[in-house]
Amino acid sequence: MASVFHGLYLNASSLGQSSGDLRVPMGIEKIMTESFRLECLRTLTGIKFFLTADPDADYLKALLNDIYIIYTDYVLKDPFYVVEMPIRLSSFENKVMSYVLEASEKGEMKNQNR
Amino acid sequence: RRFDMAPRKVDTLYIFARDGSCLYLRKFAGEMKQDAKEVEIEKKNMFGLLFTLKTFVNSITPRNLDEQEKEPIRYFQTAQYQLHYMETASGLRFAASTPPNTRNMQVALGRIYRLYVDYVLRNPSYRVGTVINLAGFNQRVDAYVREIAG
Repeated sequence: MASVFHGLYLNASSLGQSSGDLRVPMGIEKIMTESFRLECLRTLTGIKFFLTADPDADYLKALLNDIYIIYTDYVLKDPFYVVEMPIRLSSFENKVMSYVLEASEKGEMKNQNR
Repeated sequence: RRFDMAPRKVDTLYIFARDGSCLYLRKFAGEMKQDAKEVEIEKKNMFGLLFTLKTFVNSITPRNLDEQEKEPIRYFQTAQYQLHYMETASGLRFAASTPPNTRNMQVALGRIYRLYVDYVLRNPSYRVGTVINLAGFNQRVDAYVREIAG
């Protein structure tokens, strides 16, 4: 799935640039469907984080940035972690989970108050 | 439900048949000097992207899809453009590119589909599945795009 998305990301980027110059690829940031939305953050080093959520969830951009910070704190700073390898760190997963749950709750409350 | 009057600037309109052939490609923004080869590449790339996007969306959707069911795509967005999408029951695909953060264009694409039905499908000289080259349709599409551009 991730590799399919990576290809999509690059294709979308090349369709947006008239000349094929080798600048930073600006690919898919958001996909909206009937049942869900997907939002993606691309870091300066090319790593992509993406989240799927309810179509009404408009808080994903901030959440993605928070997850990027959690990634640098819990994954990159782990002395045993090798870059580009799959991440299997419960400390990272727990932290992400707590942020996601908090953001979801806040998002739910905001939608109910509308 | 009323269609809100927020401006929507369509840059390019694509119509693809189910088999991937591009029946219509019309640009509305500025003078884009593209040679015929570049246009053909754009058509192929756009259809390829939409096809792969559909497959991706169908597999990642949290909804439980039935056998033949598909997850309808509304749009996707990059930092440079937004691509609105609508697929009809017969497999005809309408796609419109706009600047990013444009409001929902499902109703607008539906109206353009209506123009297709009235001025292409019902034109006796038009053979279904072929490239659309009809002045009447072009005029109506131009007028509608101008109308919603605000």
